[in-house]
Amino acid sequence: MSETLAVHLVDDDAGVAEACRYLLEGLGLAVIDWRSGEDFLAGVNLEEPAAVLLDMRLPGIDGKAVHERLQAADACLGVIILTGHGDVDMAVESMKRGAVDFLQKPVGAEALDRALASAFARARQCAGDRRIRDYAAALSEREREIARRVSQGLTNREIAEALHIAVRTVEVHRSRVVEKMGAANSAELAALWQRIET
Amino acid sequence: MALLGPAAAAAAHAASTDGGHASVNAGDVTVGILAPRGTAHTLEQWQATLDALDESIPRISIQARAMTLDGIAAAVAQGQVDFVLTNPGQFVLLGTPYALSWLATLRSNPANSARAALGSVLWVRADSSYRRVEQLAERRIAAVHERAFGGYLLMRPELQAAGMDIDAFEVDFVGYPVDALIYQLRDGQAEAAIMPVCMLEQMASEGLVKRSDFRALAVDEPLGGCVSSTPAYPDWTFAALPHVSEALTGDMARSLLAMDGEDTARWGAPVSAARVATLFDDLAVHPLGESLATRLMDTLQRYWHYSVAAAVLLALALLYHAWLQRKARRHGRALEATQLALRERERELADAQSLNVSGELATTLAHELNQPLAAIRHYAEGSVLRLQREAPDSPLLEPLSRIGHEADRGAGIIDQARQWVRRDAPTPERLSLHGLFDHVRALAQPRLQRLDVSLTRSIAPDDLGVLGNRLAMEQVLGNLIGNSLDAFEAARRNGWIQIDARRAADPDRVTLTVRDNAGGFSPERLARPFMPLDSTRAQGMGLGLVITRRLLQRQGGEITVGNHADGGAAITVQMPAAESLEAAQ
Repeated sequence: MSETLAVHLVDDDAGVAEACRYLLEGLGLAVIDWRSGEDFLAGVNLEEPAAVLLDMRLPGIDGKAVHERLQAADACLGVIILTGHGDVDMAVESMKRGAVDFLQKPVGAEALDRALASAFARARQCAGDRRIRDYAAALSEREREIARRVSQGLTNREIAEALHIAVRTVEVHRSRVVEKMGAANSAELAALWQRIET
Repeated sequence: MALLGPAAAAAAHAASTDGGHASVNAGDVTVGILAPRGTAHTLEQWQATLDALDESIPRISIQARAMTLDGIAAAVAQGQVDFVLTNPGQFVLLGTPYALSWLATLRSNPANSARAALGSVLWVRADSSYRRVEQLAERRIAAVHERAFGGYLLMRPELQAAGMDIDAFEVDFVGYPVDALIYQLRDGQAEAAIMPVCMLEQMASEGLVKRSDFRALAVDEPLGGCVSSTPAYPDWTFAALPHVSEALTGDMARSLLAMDGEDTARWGAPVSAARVATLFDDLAVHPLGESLATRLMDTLQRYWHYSVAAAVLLALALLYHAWLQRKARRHGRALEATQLALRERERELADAQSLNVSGELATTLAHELNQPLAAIRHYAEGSVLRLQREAPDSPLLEPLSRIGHEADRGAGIIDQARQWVRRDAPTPERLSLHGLFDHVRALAQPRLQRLDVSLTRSIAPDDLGVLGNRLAMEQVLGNLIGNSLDAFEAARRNGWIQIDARRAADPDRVTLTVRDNAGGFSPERLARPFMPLDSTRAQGMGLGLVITRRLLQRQGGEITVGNHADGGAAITVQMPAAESLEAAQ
């Protein structure tokens, strides 16, 4: 889970984009350049968690609209809004739409590094959650009930009594659920399940 | 026949006609007679004559109306009489415009010809000292009427002949009867009286006055045994109005001429009134047109009640006019003030507009400059990151990070300008004045040295601070010192700039004064110190003071521009004191 994530840089100004890529690569990051909102939306792999440096002022679809579409697509992308003029209203609006941060150009390396760290964390979290949800979706109804009760801290015997099944049956289901959910043990399964249930 | 006074005659006349012209065919004939000595006297004087006319023309019944000059004129104008008997002066005045037919001329005195019968006499009291006409200047002279022929009209040339302005004589027109004039003169109410010739003699013969009490001035040739002050003019004339039939006119003329003069008046053929017309020409009273003033006076007298009403209305109108004028004046002043304010406002608007233009420019620049500044910063910092990894001892690390900082500073200034244009007040912070001046001095140092200008400061207390935005305040102080340096440079002289900062009378404010000895502002510049694009400088946009003021206003500060007595500029700035922030928190 700790592999480096990519940074999508959406800025129509090639000079700035090149400079930013130079800075980001200096920070040891992989940069994917996009010259317009349309290009980005058409080309980005929404399944892949990443950070996005999104300029507000873009030709065609502007930054705000791009951000809204990313939200609608439920992509696991940590979005950082970049703007030439930081006004408070715009910042508040962006954060409400779920932006990780709102930075005013020219952005310093430190601030950018900090914001990207948050963006990556958000993307990873999102991707993790999604994977757990995907695993959970693959469980059978019985397996889901057992997983919920495990996350509630019930013992195998308690679960067997509640579901009116044999303890042995609970043990079999339980080990299959831990495996299907990609968890190492029952404790991790409990933690994962709590993440998606809340 | 009936003899009636003016009022009775008018009533009788009204009863006998349906209005309009007097009805000749019905047999009633109205004769308007000039009554210089009053109604009773006139009717008595002419009774026999009119009776004789009545008798000789059986088909008519004559009614006599004793009238004043104005009365006759009005009656003729309105056709209310059929015949008139009046003096030649009035005939000339009325004859042409109303097409009167001249029937006969009176021969009141057999010794006189009809051509020389009328004149005027200027009487004074016999015991008075007046010997010449001009001595009567400024004295009260009584006369009947401005247009009384055997009176003022004939006398007027004599008065003028005395070589004086006619206005020098204080002539008082007292109206008919003529008798009243002589009594006024006798009783000292007037110093002189203008009378028809023979009038005084007649009154003396009637025993009314003593002839020896009076003396005539400007004596001309005697007229019919009477003293006269004027040349003689034709006698009274009997005339018919144009609506009277030719037959009746002829009968009337024949009857008049046939009178023997025993009891009646004696009549002769009508004589020429040419001399009268000439006289009128001389007097500038043209028959066809009385002077406007005279007509106006006549009208006013005739319709006195209307005149009074008109006068009252006029007075009210004048009062109203005066009131309106006062109001208008006051309003005008207010308007002027409003206009001044408006012009001021317009100017400010123009200021704002030109600032908006620069504001637009600033917004565009802010965005466009931000991009390369961002790129510069990114490259600088990207390089720093690489060097830190690969060559942490590189001497380039320091300048590269400075490049990043400077780019950031540039972006900060741009953002400031943009916020200033957008009227977003920057967040105020506590700013040490010493700190601000240290910075500004450092910036100005090269110019101060080059121009040999000293910059001293006196800040008390030492930790005095203002509440504002650092960049804005640096710009304000930089502009003020820059202004002084510009003035020194333009005047090609060296000198000093003094900065003085202390707490204002209001403890929440700080007063900051920048003075120099570079000559000060010109009066024109002082009149409009904050007018943009109006620089006294050869270079520059002249926006310095405008921007300075705007920057100060954004921070709750203000600026006043002036000169001090020692030949230099004195600019005073007020800013909120730093403590007020702490107090608020």
